[in-house]
Amino acid sequence: MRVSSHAGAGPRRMASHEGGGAWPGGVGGLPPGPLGGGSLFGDGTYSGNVIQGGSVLQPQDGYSSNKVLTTPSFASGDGNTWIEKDTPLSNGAAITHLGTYHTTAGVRQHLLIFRDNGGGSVTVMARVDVTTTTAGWQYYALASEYIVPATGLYYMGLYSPDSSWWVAGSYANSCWIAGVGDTVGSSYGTQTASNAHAPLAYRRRVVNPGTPCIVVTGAATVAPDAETGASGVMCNVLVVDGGSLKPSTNSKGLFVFAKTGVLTLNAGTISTTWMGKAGNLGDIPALPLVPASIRRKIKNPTLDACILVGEGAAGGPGVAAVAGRNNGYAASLPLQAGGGGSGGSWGVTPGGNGGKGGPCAGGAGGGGNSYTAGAGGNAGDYGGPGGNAMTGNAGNCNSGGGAGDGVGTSDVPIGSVSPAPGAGGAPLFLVSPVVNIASGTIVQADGSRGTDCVGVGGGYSMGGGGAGGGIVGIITLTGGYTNNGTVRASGGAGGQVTGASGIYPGGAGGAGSVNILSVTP
Amino acid sequence: MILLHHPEVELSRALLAELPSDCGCVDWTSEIQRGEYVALDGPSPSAFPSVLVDVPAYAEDRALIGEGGEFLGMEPVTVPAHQEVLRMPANWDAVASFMASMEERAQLRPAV
Repeated sequence: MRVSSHAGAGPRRMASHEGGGAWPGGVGGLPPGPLGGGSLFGDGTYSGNVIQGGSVLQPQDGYSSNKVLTTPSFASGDGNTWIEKDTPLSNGAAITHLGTYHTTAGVRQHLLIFRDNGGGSVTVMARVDVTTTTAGWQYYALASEYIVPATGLYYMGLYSPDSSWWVAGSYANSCWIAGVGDTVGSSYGTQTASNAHAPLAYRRRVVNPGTPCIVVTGAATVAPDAETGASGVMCNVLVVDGGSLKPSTNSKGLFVFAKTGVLTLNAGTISTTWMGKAGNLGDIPALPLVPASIRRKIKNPTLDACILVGEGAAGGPGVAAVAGRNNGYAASLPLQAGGGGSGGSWGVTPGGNGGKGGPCAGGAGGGGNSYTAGAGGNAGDYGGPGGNAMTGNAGNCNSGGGAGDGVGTSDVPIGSVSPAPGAGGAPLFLVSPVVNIASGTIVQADGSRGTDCVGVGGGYSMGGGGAGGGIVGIITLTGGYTNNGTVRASGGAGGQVTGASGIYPGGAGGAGSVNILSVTP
Repeated sequence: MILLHHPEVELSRALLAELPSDCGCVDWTSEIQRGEYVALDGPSPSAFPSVLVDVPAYAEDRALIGEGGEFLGMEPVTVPAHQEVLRMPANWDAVASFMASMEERAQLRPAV
């Protein structure tokens, strides 16, 4: 497998759309957790549609076998064609193998799939010619899997060029046809009922147990796993149609694995905006964050190679100047989060410094300064918490706290504030052969805005700093990624100010990184 | 005036398609272009698209507040010329509106 980079770099070098530099090589962070963990959909909204089977990009399909008989006994006769009408094939099944039972090796047989045309007519739809190599049940792969159509009756069949093998008994629906031919697509004409049975079986590809497709049309949330702290979804197809999918609470990330594809439609949103989790965790491979119930079912070397940068971009330093503020720094590396913005300042003393981002959250914002009491509080590093606004404002001033995992407190002797709604963006990964982002839809790991302030005439108001953007990773097969919408990891806006005579907003969070990876099998 | 462009963002693609002749563009996915922008020491982008604009110096009135919080009146102060990054302007008309406002403010309230 080769990892293709948009920047044309070699293996283990990742292209980032909002970062540059070398592939981060460190390995550390969390060990693989034990099996188990929390539910995939914490609010239960889509619990019935959560798929836990299958794998991504490197399918390791399971099979279900249907043996008509487990202990066949045989009689032999002339060459005939048998149609196993007692056991119709399941509509929609993906048949990969046909099987038969023999007591000896070296027997030639043509294993068949028939379509029932009605009126006693059948047509061969698929065929594999075999010579048994040993006694007992043996399965033979079809040249290509046969998808049984959604409607109609389809049966297994058997033609023996040398002699027929069947199981004697009372099987009202089985039949045989004399005077055979076995060309795929040919009609066999009239069937004759039989009281015998052909020893046939099949294997079908098990795409996923349960409902294979998740369609999100409302507000769906995914609870973080109890062990890893990240949220996970595994399915065959994920369609976000006008709804939204996000973690249910602050999370170390949202990881979506779809065996066939991910599609967003009609303003649908997949988001980890504001949902980051603070922590000085060092460089973290993405894979151990995946809930164990999913992790053990996937094999994806590209995801294995994704290491979230432990030290995000720096926060914006506070500025002691009129309207002084700084945005957090944008990510400069692949798989890196942005820094937090500083708090706002009216001058003399600075707003609080923004914090650096962490591997699982954009940086937190600093708190606004105070008119009379001094500088705003600094944000914590590695994703939070937000800086507290300095307390002790003069009675006609107020200041907002910074966004973060733990929003900074505000000082509101007058007027009002609208507290920051959350933290920096959390990691968001979509892993699927095909990802299609339609126009008007968004995949986002944005940071939270800082605390907004509403002041009064003759007073000053200083907004809180916004949080940094998180990390977005999209892993598809080469040519499988289409984006007519938006994929982003924006920093949150600085806290805005209205109503005051002195309007001093906070600094915005820095942009995180968007990482698009294509994989050539 | 510089458009900080990101091709993964639909709005950014729309702005790029109608890029004014007097506006430069930095593709943030280009390591070279990104490095050139960082070397200019401009404001770090918070979101894409963003448009870097020059804001001329102007005067504004600052409230004077006493230590006890009493309002003492207003005094003019100069805000020096600087650059700002407009986050996610909906279209170029929005950028032009901002620029016109900044020019008008500088003319009406020149630096003191």
